[in-house]
Amino acid sequence: MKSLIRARHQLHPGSGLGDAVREMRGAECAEDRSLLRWGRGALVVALVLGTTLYKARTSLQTGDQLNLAYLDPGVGSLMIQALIAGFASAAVAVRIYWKGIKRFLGFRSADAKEDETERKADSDE
Amino acid sequence: MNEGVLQASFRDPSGFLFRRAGILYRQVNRRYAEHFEHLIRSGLYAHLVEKRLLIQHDEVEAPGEAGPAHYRTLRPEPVAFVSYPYEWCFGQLKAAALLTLRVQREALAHGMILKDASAYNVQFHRGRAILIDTLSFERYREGDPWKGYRQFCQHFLAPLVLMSRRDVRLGQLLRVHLDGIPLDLAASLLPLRTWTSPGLLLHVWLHGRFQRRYAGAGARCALPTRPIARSALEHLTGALERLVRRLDWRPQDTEWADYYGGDSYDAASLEHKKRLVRRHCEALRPRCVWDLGANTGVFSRIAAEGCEHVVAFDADPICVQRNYEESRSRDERNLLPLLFDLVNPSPSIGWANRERLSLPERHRPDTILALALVHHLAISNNLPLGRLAEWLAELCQSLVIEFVPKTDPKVRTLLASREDVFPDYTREGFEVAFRERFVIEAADDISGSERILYRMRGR
Repeated sequence: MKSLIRARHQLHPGSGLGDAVREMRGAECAEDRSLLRWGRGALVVALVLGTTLYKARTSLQTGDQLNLAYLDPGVGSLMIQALIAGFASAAVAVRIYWKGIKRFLGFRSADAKEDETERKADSDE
Repeated sequence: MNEGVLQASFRDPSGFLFRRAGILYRQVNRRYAEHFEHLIRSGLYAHLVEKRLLIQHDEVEAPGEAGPAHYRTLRPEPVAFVSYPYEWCFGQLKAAALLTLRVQREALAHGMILKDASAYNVQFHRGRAILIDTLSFERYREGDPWKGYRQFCQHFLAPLVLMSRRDVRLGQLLRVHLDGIPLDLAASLLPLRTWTSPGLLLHVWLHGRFQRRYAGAGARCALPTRPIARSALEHLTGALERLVRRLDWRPQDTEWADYYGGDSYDAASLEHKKRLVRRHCEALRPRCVWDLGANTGVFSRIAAEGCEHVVAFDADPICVQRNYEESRSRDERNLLPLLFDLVNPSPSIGWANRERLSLPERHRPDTILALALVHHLAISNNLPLGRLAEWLAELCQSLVIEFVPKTDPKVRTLLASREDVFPDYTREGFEVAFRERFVIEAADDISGSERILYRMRGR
């Protein structure tokens, strides 16, 4: 990836290169953005999973007296429920911060695109 | 019916069911008082009853001497026929699962939670699934997990997934595993492609792994007591609801499912048989009818026109499913389709063989319809006609029964690949066997066939 970036910087814009080279530069930029997105995406997934699993894990060690039932709810069942509850909380958090996450991953939202189009139209006028 | 405390009512110390002078009562114990009062005062009880999700009850004086544990006595609305999950078709089990989750959602909204999620707490009452255990609720304490989650997955999710994704006959595992199908067993039976569903992966496969991993771990490790937010519980309930709703079973046709559309009857014979059955039902005026070998319920519906309740039994899961779908689409209140194999009927099982009862221990009908059934029992299962008459006479007072002679195409098919060891299987032999137990009131030939329809009364 670094070599790609170096190669791209060496190609100075407007140096009289042909269309083929410009196309290649476009493709490299797209690949670059996609790599960045994948990296950041993996980071988000790792954060969500890590937090969920950590929460489920710590649930083994903390907490006050459980309000016990007349039926054994099963320790394994309570553990998986804690894990699923963790996933549920993570899903809610992702939903709340969805716009921010999309921006972090380099995707522009429809609103931003609209704003940009409007700005462009204004400047053209 | 047995008097006293019901044998199945012993697990929950919140109360118990008992019968006095033939009336069913539920005692609420003092230790459950706080939860019971909240159920009533929060408006949850009224709301669930209004939506027909929970059985209605009257608060009454205790009939007889009440012990020190007594808090209240309830008289629940009686359910016409108590059925068990292993007698339900796929659609019925799915309806019971969705009812449980809906009740859980409503309970959470009223500051309560289901403390258990047993499939035996659901019955089919006036055509719909309904929760019958008024003491299944407890006050919700912020941060508590759902203690009925394990039971829900074992009693509902596992059998539904197995029936939907592997084989509908696996629902019968519920007859062996009374506390629901163990999740590791369910996981081992499911096809690999089911693991592409995140819901199934979590609630069945991973759940089963966790159960095994932490089996007997109660004493060794602290219980998972980290608070679970109410929103997470609501999310869990919603996710389970979506998962169950997506489970479907599209049955392939069996030889039985198209019985009346096939070559068994022409239209005129079928109409004649319907007229005869209607006439016999009108003559017998039964309150409760069992239709044995009901197929998709064509004749059960005729019987249901003039009586309080009909139970339509069939051994074919597709027929029962079609019958149930038809009954739901017509919003029929007095017809209950059930899965039941006459040659291997539901036994008395559970603790001391008294927890889940056999059919005759639960209820007895006034009249039995046994149409196009005798040849399957007598020829396919080598059942002597005398024994059939004896069993039917123990169950009912009157009988509408069809005799299908050896010359009938269906019987010829049954005998095509085997030796005819049934010299007594004749009209005369049939009448001799049944006259020992019944008085034959009418015998009519069904037009366009060689079949005979009898109306009989017990001696």
